[in-house]
Amino acid sequence: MPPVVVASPHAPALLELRGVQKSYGNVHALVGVTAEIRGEVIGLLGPNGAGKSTLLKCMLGLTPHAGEARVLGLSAESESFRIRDRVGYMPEQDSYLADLTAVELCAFAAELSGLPRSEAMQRAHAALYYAGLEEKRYLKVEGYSTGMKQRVKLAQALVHDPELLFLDEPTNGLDPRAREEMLELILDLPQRRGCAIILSTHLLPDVDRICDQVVIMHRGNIRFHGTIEDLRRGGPVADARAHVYDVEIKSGEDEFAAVLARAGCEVERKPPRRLVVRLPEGTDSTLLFQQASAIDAQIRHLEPNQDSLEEAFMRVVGEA
Amino acid sequence: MPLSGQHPAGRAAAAIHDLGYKRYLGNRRPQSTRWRVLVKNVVTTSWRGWWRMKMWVIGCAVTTVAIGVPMYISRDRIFEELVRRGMTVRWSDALLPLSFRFFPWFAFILAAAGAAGAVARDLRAGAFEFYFSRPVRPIDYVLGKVVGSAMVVSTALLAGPFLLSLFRVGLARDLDEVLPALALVPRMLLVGMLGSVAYAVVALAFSSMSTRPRITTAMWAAFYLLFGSIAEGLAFALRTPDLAAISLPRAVEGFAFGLFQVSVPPGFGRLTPGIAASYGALLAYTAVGLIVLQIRVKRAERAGLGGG
Repeated sequence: MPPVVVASPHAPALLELRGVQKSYGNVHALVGVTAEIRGEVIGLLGPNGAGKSTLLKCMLGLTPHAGEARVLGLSAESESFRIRDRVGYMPEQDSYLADLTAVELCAFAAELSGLPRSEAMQRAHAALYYAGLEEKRYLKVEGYSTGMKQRVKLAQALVHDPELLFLDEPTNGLDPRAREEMLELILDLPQRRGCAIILSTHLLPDVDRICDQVVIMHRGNIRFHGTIEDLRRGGPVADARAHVYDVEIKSGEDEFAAVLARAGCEVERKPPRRLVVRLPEGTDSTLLFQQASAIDAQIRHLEPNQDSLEEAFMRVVGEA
Repeated sequence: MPLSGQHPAGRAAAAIHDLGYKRYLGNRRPQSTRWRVLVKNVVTTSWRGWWRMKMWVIGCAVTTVAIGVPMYISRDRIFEELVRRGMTVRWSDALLPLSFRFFPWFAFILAAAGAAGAVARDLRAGAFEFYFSRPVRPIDYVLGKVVGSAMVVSTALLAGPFLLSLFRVGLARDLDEVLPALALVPRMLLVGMLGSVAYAVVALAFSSMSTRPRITTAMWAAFYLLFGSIAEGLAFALRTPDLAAISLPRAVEGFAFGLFQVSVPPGFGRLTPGIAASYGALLAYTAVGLIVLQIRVKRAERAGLGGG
């Protein structure tokens, strides 16, 4: 029976950031980032230059910074090596050693993370088998296809049994089938191995598919942190959007729009039959049914208005 | 056992293979010893290819035998007579430092085949992300590469001379000869160790200058062959033997000759620098090489993870 991770509110947060700042000359890469991040699979999103990589470096203690960063309860400043023992990192770029087979690479990685030789070798085989490389694990990594290299990168990240995995664009360059397989592996990890995952990616469908939490960075700060549902509902402007509904009626949408407008609603037409309706303060969805009844219109579909993940992301990072 | 992962309808099912996961609860190796893992990796990967190490180790073995034979022959009475007639050093003793005219060639090739491209290969393959996302400090990386590469180079500069010094001890006819012969062993070890470290460090420092191993290997070869020859030429032209210590093989040779108090008469072949200049040059090369290497690796660590 694989271990099951239950996110407890009392468990130490995966990441605790308090006023984390980092500048490169005049460029402010991180501007007082403060957040407490928990969860199983967390998507780290942001446009290029948002500060994701710098945040990652700070968390692993690779770059000095102002403020306090803690990973798994350990200080990134004074306990960075203990953090790196407990964290796995799958890089975006090629990252292997020339002349080594996948098994040798993974065993070497495990030994560098402090595991004894025999344990390292055993876990290297298990990790590569888990990642789906099977017999190909005896081949040199430099001859691998992109998909196989991604699998090796995943295997070397988890070979030393980390509690937290940073995955940087894990599905980059993969064909649809390989991408699907990689996502299923990532989804399986928290259940089977009990490790949390922070997934940094530009591919919003990947986040939508596997993440339960999202952190969106922009211009060196965290602009949104919460569930995907929250993000879709409006994220930072969720309260303002709580009274916005998608409505679809069988027919007579012009007339329905007119009566709603007279009742104080803001109505936006979305052809062919859909209306986006913002209700006035102090009312709820009952108003929609009352107005529909008044003109004998039949409501066929009603749900709180939600953005697609892409729209939500653009809203958070966009200038709008 | 392959287990089918959960997947939405219509999507390809990925087979997830689980060999039985167990959380690792054992002790981890102390962080301060991780550099030894790198040493082992450098030596084992070097040992693999014929052209990277094995061929040159065989060459060193042949050279060792080739020097050992005249050492054995020089036990002949003719040579003993030369000593009685005032020859300051026995032939068999003189052949020990003289061996450092041959072994550095193999050290050069071993360094060219391994160390001179090692850091460049890591830079090219993105290995620094691999290293520094783990509990590996730049100093661990430098230490691991230097010690590992020095061990590889030492198969030429240390193993052969050490075996010859032991052979010399074995050639002793009586106890009176054993004790002075034993004193030769640590001298050979000292020259071999210092030479191996200098060769490894300088070659590694060149290898950190570019991401293209061929270029860095060419830089090492140019430094060793061209720059060294120019230094020797200048030393000859200016009649300043110590200037020849700028050439790495001459520095090793000069240090060995100095330790064994062997002097080459003027006009007898090339100039050999004095022991102080040779020792200073070897230390300076090692120090400068280590500084360059540490700076370049530290910079790579800072550039580190996550791309842009």
